[in-house]
Amino acid sequence: MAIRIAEFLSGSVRVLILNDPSRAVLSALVARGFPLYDVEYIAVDQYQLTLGLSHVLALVQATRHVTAKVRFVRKWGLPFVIWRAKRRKAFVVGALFFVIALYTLSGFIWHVQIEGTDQQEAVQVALEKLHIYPGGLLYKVLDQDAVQLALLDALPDLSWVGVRIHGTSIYVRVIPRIPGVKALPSGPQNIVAKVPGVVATVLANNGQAVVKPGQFVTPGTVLISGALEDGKAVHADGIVRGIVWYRSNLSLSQKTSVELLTGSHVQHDYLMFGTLALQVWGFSHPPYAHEEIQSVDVPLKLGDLTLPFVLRKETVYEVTPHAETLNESALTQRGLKFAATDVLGLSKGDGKVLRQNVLQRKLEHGKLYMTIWTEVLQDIGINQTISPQPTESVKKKT
Amino acid sequence: MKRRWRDKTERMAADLLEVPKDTLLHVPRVMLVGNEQVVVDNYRMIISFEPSLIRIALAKGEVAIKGDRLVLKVIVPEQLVIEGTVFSVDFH
Repeated sequence: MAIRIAEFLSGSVRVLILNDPSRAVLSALVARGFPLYDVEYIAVDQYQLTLGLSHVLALVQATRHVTAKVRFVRKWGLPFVIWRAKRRKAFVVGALFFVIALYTLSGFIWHVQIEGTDQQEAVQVALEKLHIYPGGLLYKVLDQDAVQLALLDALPDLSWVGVRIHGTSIYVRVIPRIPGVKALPSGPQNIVAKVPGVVATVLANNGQAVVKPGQFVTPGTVLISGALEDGKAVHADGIVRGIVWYRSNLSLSQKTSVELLTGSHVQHDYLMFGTLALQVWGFSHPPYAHEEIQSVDVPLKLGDLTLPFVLRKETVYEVTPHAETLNESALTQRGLKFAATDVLGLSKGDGKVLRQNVLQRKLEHGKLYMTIWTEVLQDIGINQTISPQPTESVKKKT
Repeated sequence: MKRRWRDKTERMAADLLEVPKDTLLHVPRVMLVGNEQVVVDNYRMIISFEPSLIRIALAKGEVAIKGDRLVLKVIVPEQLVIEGTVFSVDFH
């Protein structure tokens, strides 16, 4: 191999020697000690051989005294490349320019792709500060890991950043944080009773439970304390359920009126432009004595486009009023149901009715007056921030 | 006369010291690599060459290499490399 490289650098030629049946030229070259390669028999008076470029002059001298003739078959090596390059300067300049242009242009950033966010501008601005923008110099850019860390520092809204430098392209993939997740309030607080009642269950997630099941509490009594024994104040958290009693007074009329649907109805269609209604279908107006109207708005769509008007389908039902007189027991049942619904509404739907009792009942002038007692199991706790003043006032109360 | 004396002395020294004969100058050496290559050291000149027969003059006598498609691969002073299919190597 080393010989081949040396041969290439010094250059070599392959010659065809004609008209030399006695091998005089070959003998002369061998006698002078020139290295020869691939001496090949062609015909009785012809043969080919390869020799170094520096020995060509000797070859020509050797042929001068004999009848042999020399024909050059192939020229090979660096001297010939240089010789050819000198003859074609424009080509060499073009080739050199191409290499230089390729090298220079590959030093620039050609393409920056940001994926995974709808706020590309913010990422772009942050990237520009790190010298990453189309047309920027690639050697100024830090390595991938450093860019990732710098980008995470610059944009706290991102939870993950992946940067891939691929040749002259830079691919940035980001995962933004999920917005709207806020930390829970963590200020020190107590959980105190909001209504009087008897504690049923205590479930303290944080803080110290200071009441026991079966204990009667009044509003303001601390149920779960955020003030710990060692003087620290924590955010007390938990659910305290208690039995609470409610007394409801109500009056119900014996005569009630309900509207029953007869089954006949008509439909009117309108196109609504804002508040302006344009009737498009169903124009009949039957002579209903009593009617009930039900309307449904259907938004109109054309492909993905929502049209600026809606179709309102209006159904007019015929109804007949139906008067009814209820007896006392039916009214009582209805009253109990009303009282339970009312009480559960007060406990914000978190309660469960345990017992109900009618304390008082009086039928007078077609109306039933009642007092109903309801026992409810419900959450009785409420948060109260710990500050020096409220604890004092609680102490005074108790 | 001087040359012969020197040859004699070298030969004697070689026998005495049990040095292989080919390490001495001017002793031809023919090496075969399979039947594909022949390396001839310390040749004197090429007498004739054809694809089927190459004759090489040595210090004493000559060597004829018979074969098929024989090519003088490398010719440098003191060494000759012949490639091709070798049938026989004869000394004359």
